[in-house]
Amino acid sequence: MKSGAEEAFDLIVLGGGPAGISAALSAARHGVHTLLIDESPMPGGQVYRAVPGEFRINSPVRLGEDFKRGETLRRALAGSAVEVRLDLCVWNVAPGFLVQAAGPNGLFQGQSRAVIAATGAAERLYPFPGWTLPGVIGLAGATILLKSQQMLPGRRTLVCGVGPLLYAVASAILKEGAEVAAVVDAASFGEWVSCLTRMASRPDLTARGARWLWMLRRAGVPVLYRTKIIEARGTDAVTEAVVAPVNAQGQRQVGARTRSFAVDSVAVGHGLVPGTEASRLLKAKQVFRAERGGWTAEHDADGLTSIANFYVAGDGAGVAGAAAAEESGSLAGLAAARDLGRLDAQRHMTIATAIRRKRKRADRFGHAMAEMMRARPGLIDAATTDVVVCRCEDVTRTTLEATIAAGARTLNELKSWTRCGMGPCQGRFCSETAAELIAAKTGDRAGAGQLTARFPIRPVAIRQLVEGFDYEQEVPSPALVPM
Amino acid sequence: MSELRIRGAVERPTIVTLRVDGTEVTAHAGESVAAALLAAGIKRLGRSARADAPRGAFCFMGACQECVVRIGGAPAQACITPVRDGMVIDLGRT
Amino acid sequence: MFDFAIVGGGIIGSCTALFLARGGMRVALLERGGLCLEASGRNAGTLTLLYARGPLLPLVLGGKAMWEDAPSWLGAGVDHHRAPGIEVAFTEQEASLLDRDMTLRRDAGLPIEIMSGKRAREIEPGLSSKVILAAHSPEDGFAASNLVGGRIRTALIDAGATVRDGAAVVGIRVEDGCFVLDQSGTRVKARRILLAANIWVKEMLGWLGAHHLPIRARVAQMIVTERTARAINAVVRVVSQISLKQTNNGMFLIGSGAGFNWYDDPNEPGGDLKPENVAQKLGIAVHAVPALANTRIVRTWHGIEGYAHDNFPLIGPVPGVAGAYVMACLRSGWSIGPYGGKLMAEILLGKRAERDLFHPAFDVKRMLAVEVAA
Repeated sequence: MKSGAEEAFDLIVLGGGPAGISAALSAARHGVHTLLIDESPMPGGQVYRAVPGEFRINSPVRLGEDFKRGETLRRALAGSAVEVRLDLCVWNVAPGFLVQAAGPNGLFQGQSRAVIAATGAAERLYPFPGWTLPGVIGLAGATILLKSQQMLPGRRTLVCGVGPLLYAVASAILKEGAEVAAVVDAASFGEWVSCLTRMASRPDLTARGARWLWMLRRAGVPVLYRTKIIEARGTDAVTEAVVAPVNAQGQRQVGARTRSFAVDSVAVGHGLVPGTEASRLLKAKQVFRAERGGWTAEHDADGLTSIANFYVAGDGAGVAGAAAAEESGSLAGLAAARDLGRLDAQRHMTIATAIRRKRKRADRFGHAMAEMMRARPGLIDAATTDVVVCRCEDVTRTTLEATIAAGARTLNELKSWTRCGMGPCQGRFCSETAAELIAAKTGDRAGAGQLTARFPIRPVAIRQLVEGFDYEQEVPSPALVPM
Repeated sequence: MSELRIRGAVERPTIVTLRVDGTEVTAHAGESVAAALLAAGIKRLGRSARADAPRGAFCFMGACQECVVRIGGAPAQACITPVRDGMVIDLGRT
Repeated sequence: MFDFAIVGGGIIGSCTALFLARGGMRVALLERGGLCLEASGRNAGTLTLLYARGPLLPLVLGGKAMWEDAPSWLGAGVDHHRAPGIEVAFTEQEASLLDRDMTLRRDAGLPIEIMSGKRAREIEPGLSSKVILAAHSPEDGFAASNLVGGRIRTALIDAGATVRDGAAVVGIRVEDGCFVLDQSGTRVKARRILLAANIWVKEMLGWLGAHHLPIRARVAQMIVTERTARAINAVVRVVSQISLKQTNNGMFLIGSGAGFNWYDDPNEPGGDLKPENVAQKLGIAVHAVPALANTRIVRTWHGIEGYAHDNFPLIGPVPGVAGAYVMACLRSGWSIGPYGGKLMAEILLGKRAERDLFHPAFDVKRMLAVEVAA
């Protein structure tokens, strides 16, 4: 397997979003030889996505506050001692540490004394009939289209699910002159009001949210609280969406009237789940924390996990939003600097204490948003029996429930016995639902466990792995053993 | 075809031409294949493993693997692959 | 009190328990994890005559036939497909080995043909032109071994067996003419027992007086790709190296037991699971089927295989312990599973002669005198 010569670093940071950038800057500031790896062509992660370098920006202001913050972070990174490698998708992290990645320019292999995983959160999506139709996309996916590709998901979009992204996406669509058929929020208006006090720690973001709501109202877009999508209809692509009222758990209200909208796209998301691929692969101890989105590596206040010199930061350590991600990244970078001997304990304590205070403030808002994006498994009743839960392998709810009835109690059992989670996405879009189906039987969500982590974290081209392979050289002659 | 590209904040100076299942599609340098196809009205990128149902780009961030197409004969995720002039794209994996 | 306790819920233990229960016995199947989740649920599901050896051959033939008709005994299919089996050689050394071994099998009556690379490519056009010699078994096939666990669990319960999964057996002793098994704090009593826990029987046999038997573990590496265009129909094996097949929906499944280290402690085989090993297996696979270069790997995993010192299984009574039996460390264990389990059950039910399964080559006694290297 040919990669460039193995490179050595003090610290490798996985993920170039706000947490990863802050972690790298923080560590490099104290003399830690740091590498930042990201799979995108430019750093920024989800929330601070850049536009492609080939686009010419006429009006940065029109690209919004998130773009502005992203540019600030990108500039700071560019002006720092951090080495940055982009367009590189990490597919293995091994103890020691070894980090292996692949990209259009070939394979990368790096050794480092410490690793910070700042790989963010993934979208949670509960199935419903028609959710696999082309034109039905994730809310985070819609955000990427809008912000980074400067493209609308459709001319008339239904925006549905939970969380602040609903309003961000809906208002971004309206702003560009396209239609939002409706905003369909499983939360109640009362829930939003309840988190107002916690949102007060970020008056700027609260004001932005209020502007979004006002924009929707002025445009006459129906904002339907305590409502969810129950069907996407169409043949080759979505053309119609059906929604229905739900109760506080997200379950359909018996007898309540449904509403139908003609659409050419549906943007749906049911919250965020911390990404744990790297920490599971390294066998860091995991803990289930529903209020943080689910499983994360167990970690201390600075992100240090059960594995020495391995830290987690940002939403991957627990959903808490972009502002908190920056602070948590800084703390992880500082802790790494201390543990690598670049920062004495006293000085570390002084700097870290100040940042921990800032982080606590940021957490107030972030946790309020995480609360709005918590798992609402009642939403799963939209997945009627023949609905595909595992998109990759077309495994239906019926099959999963029958196998749970046959005795499957963990995700790994369910996966082995049904193939749910065996496809190319490796359980990213089905395991939340599968775990809730198990929990519906056992009453124990955490007991369903996690899917076993293996490399590759993401698919890798065989061509790249076998480049330079010489059969005669690398395959030992078989021994002529008596049969 | 209704326009999905957002004008105003950015310019897309360079036009590229793709060949998608034999048909010419124009796009702009910097766009992902998935976005370019979406703008051209092409949403169905493949069919599902067992039920043969129509599928397209879903997560747009390289995670779901639903947008895998063949570019120059090799598998590529349309949502994270930038367009290049002259790209030959085949939809549907198998 | 159970008539029978079976320790180990892989294919051997599960099938034996199934047929014993259907034969009217009160059976408990004890498994520390889930049914058919270890080697039995992780293997490539290959059903071939190209690998069968000596006294195992009739067992492989019997097992293969049962997998071809899984609904009749399991109550459900497991995605079985018929496919020609082709074993290929690229070097002179590999060709000598292939020629010798396949000639022996062919002479033993198996429908195996030895042929040139050119002829092999007529049968399987997806093969590389670098093949110099090949063996063809036209009636091979494969099935999805991972699907068995849930189905057999249902079948076991329907048959009246008691499935006690999720807890490990940590001790076995003889008491008042019966066996007392400690399943992580719960006592399970049985008149007779069968140890079917693969490599883990080594420790259990120690509890029953057969200490330090020459049994070792080795990993088998599995790799799967994403779906890709149909490239091969045959199940291809490269002499001593890998097997590869393309499943119904286009994913390639590559398996290898070659080139890994021996372990005494099966719970810690991690050292061999390295990307370089995966890359080497892929290199061999691409060498055999060039189309593979055009796809991506999606997942790798491993299973643990148990080996006695002479590669033959342990099948038969536990020496000196009346009522205790063992059936473990089989080569082609998954292929054999249903048939082996059926024969074992019939023997234990008194309906079949022991010699139908308890071959002298499988006798545990042969292992008692073997010196184990320190």
